[in-house]
Amino acid sequence: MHPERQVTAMLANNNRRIIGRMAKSSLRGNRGRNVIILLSIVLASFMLFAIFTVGITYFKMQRLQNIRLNGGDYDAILYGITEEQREKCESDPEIGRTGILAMSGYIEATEGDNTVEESCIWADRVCWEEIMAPAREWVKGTYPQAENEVMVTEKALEEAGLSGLTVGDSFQADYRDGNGNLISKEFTISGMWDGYGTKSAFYVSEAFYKASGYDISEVRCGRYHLDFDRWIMTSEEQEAFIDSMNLGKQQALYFTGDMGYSLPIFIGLCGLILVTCLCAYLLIYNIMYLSVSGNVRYYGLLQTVGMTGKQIRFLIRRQMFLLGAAGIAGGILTGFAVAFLLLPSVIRSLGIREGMADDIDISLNPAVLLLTVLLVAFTVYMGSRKPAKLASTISPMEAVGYRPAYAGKIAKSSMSVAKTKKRRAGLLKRMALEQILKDKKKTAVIMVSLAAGMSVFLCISTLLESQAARTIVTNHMDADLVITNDTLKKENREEWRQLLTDDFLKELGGIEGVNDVCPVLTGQVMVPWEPDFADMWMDEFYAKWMNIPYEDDRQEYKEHPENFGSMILGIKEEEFPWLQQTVDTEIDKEDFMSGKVCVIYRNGLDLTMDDLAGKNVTCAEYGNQFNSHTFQIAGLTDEGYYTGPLLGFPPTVITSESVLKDFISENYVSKAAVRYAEEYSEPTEQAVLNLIANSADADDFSWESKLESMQEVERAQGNMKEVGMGIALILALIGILNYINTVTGNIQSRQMELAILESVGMTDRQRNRLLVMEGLIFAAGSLLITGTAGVAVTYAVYQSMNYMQVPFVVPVWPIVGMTAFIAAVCVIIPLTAGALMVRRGSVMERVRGV
Amino acid sequence: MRDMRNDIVRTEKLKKYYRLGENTVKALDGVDFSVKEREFVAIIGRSGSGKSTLLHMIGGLDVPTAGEVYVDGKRLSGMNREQLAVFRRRKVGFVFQNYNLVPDLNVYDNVVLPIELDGKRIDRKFVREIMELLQIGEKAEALPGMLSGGQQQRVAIARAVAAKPSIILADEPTGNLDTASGHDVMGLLKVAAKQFQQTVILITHDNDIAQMADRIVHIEDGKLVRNVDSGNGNNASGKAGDRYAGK
Repeated sequence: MHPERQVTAMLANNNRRIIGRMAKSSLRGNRGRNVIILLSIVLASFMLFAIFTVGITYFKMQRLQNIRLNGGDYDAILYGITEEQREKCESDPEIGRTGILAMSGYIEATEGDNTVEESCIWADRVCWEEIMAPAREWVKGTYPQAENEVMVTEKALEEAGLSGLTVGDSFQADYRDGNGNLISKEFTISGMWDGYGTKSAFYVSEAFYKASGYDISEVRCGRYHLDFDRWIMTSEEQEAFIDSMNLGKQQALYFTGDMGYSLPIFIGLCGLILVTCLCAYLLIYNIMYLSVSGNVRYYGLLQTVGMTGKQIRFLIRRQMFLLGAAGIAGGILTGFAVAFLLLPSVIRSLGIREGMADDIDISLNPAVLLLTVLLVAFTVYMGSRKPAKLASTISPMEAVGYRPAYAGKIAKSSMSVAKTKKRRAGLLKRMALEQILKDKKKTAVIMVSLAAGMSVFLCISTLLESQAARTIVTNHMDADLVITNDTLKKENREEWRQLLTDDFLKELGGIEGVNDVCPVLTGQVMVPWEPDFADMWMDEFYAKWMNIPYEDDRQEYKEHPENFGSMILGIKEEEFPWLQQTVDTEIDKEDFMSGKVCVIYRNGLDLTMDDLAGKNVTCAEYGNQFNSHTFQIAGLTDEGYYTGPLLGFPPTVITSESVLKDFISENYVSKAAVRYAEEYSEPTEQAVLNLIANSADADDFSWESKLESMQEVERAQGNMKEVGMGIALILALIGILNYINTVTGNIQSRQMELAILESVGMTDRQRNRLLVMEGLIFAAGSLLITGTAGVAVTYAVYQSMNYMQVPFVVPVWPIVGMTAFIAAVCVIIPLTAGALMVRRGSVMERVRGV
Repeated sequence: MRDMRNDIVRTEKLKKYYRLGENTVKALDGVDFSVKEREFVAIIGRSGSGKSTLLHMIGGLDVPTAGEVYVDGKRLSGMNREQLAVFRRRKVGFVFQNYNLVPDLNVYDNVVLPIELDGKRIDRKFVREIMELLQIGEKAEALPGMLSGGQQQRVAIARAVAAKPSIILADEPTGNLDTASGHDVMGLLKVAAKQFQQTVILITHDNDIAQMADRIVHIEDGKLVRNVDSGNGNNASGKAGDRYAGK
């Protein structure tokens, strides 16, 4: 063997053993530093594990919430289904399952209440047992088999005036079938359920549906539920699918929010994971970098005694491997413990039906475990790669004279004497800025890391805060309550009664907390046939909503317009601006108030103002065609609030209250929008509901409450809020830990410099001012990033989930709290680190770096 | 002949003990020591003899275990940290072996640092005068890292002098310099102190450097052992080696 090679080989062997011993002794010797690194790896693994676990739980809960809000687990719903379409869907391999709901009639009266309006729905087996099941909490009894059996909720019974009935009980009810016949029947309750979905409906058997005169091919009847196997579908793919279905004019296919917005949600989730990994990487990298640059003398010394760069890298990797393995194990164990201890209680508090709990409990998911290990190992490797390189390239001479704060960079003098003179007053400010700008990369790392946590917090708190607003269909005029006179829904005019009387409305307006009450006046009219507008409207109407062609009915309409009743609505002057908001064209208020022009309800027809420009609509008092009024059509509205108690074939005309009163003598207040001084005020709502309950006709009122809708959304959300906040807090914690690490490391490495300043007369107070200033610059920087990039991302996410087109608003208090908190952290941490530094020894000891 | 000048520095039974494992190290063990106004005193002693500790006690950089330090009539043990810091920047100028300049500040900013920390107006003419005297006028904008050791030490001296303190404490100021630069720096220190009427207490283990002082004090094992007039300046005590510590 060549003698030199022999020597090298021998040395390599010897060194390896020595390095092994040194790695161990270095780990023991630098206990403080290593405890910090170990803790950070434990923390990072725990956090990643927690983020994955919590993130997946959150995602599942989000899905659960949507299932509850939609009343079932499906991705799209088709109104009306033809046989061909059904065959196409059933043979489509991408569609996992399809279920049918069929409207099969409407109950109009029961033995307990004669103003009921509940639908009778038949759900097929797939729909009831698979699609709707996840939204149900409990079921008693069985799904109806016989024609007279029904499946109900307590709520449905209550609304039908049948409270207290249970499985096995029977009741008498009148329902209207598909052919318009009112049928009286005795029903038996075969089962009861509760949960989420259409709870006020009476679910009926297939036999009932078959006898009902309804057919699922009709838009008024069929609700075809589609559940796709895939869970992401871009809007282009959705449109392509809709096109492929060859929908008829009346048919409509809607994708649910879940499917419709799945891509942005998925991207958002990936973003969250990325941010978490980035934060963890920054944390480990930062600690390792600080640790190596704080130990430059040590590594220089190793080189002085003959260790090669390669060996130093190996030494550091060996240390990191030991720390990494221990840290990852510790972090995951902590994660497991937390998952096992916390998740079950979270799930219990969610009130999810049994069986679902297994789906939610994902603490044993091996993919999460593997991903965490890989990610942290990769992060540790990446985080220690550069510091290891740094350590191996330090020259022994550099190490002897090394000053961490100076970092060997001979920068240009930052300012000229002239400038210095001008800015004399701000010595501390200047020094603070200098310190921050010195290592721009490190500064950026800290700011980005703090900003990441804050941005996620911002995003999640904005989304949670606006959840109700973005998803609830709010009442028109943002009314807290809309009270309706249900007697006007009766086909028999004899049964119509004045419920929302002047006295009642006055009393309502007098309730403490009620801001204003806006009644809508209604009268029945007919629209006599004329070849221009009326004919065009009816043509469109039949094409859109009817199963028979207009031609079949045209003659009857011409001769007997009274068989085609409609409604005219009168609104108060105060309400005019709200009406204007729902109309695309500008309406002259004076002309509207005087009855020269009117607005009509579009009723889903494919008509636009281009078709109606300059056209007039003539209405006559119902049954008295000699009392008529002609309005010019000034606008079309799609706001469902502007419909009467009954929706006729001819248009619903909206005019002013005074015009209506002069025109139709038999008028009724059909509904009243109530707004509270304080939105969602429970005491006010209770007072209003008490007023209704105490009225003699309590059963004949119905109402839509914004408060109830919000409570429903909150209930459906379950613990999503807490889980979301948990994610934000974990990220914020990573950012703050990173900050703490850097600041303490920074102050430690600047110990000498600060001691020099102290030795030439810097007081503690001045040092604190310097450190606080630095801290505040960090806080300001990260807040700036959050305020720009963070808000931009939040805005994008918000808009992608903004189903109701609610204006983007950042919630004030969480953000004020976050800002104050981050400012406090940025001030308290440096102060504490500074105070701890002082305790380590006298000025001279610190100047010498002892 | 008695020197009629006042004592600007006086220590009484000054002790500083450290615990090192199970042993107690007596860095200073009852030192009575005084320095007159405008005097230039060199303290010499072996490594670990306690000379630096004594200097740090006088400069208010360290706290004694027992005994008192009076500087310009003020008792340092009666001061809190804040007051000590103010005392340092007003009364004392430090020159350290490794210069201890703030690396991020340029030469000018380093020199005026104690004045700025004190919130006082800078006497720019005076500062320029000092910098010219110490031959660093041209380097005002340079950062410390761009200067040689000798230049850095001259910046440190300028910093020590600039705030017009009564005392300059120099801890082995030539320790990191070659002989020529060392003598150069010492000469400038002496000239500056004389010109601005400052008292200088210097620590060194270099006898040649010590000879430049008015008086030389020997310290051994935390005790003053000899107090020698170098016969080199305006000290009028005349005799050498006539005083012993603690006696």
